[in-house]
Amino acid sequence: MWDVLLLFITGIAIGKFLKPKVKIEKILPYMAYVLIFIIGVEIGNEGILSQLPEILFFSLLIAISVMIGSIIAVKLSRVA
Amino acid sequence: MMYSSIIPLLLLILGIAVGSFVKLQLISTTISLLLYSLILLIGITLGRRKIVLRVKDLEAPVLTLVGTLIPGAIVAPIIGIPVNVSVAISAGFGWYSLAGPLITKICGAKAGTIAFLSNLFREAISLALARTISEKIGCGALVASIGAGSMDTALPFVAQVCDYNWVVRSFISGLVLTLLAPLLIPLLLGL
Repeated sequence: MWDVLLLFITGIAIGKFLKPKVKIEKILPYMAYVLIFIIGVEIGNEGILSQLPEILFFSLLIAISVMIGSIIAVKLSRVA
Repeated sequence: MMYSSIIPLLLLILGIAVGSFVKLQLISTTISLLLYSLILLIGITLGRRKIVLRVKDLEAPVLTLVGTLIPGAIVAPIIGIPVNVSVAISAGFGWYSLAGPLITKICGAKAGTIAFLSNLFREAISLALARTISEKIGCGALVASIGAGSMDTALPFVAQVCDYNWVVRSFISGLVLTLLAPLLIPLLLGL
């Protein structure tokens, strides 16, 4: 947990104070794609494919709940 | 579903197919290395931006935060996972490429897959319904519904259906949520 936080904060500090010129924004989506593929491989390796209908249902439930929750929060505050 | 959401979904399916037939070694190590690099680079990208935040601009992301985390806690008993894990999944705010790998690393493949898909669905459904939400409910609701993606992938969609003011607020809301997600997810999972 702390390793992730520390890396993130270190990254912000590097970006703010050293301002590297490398075009990181172009690399990020490809890194994310590789990561997603490898996660897929791990899911396949762990054999949780049989639970996919349940996983899909849970994922949709969370997605729709948080969307509705966010919309309600904004409507209640009259920001919309 | 939008083009930007189809590529990651296809890659995930391809990876699952490969992983079902081929047992690969060092997968966890590879995920950790890639994830650490990704988080460091995301931090650098955010650190380079010069943004001046006003209190008024924080209204939308704060409401999105509250409106996201509370339902995340409510659905936990239905799903049968600990409340902190369910809330951490929600705290991805639609940033599936971060939430999926991060939660996979800490909680395992099942929770990670739910995190990836739920955040992907959030972005995809919000974009698919962008016009309807903005016209029937309002642009604030659209920005809140999208979550973290409102600063990048979804910004053109917001610009299409909302006025300039909302484009700026959408960007700031996405930025704040993008800053919060990598902090909140590990903190919540540490509870």
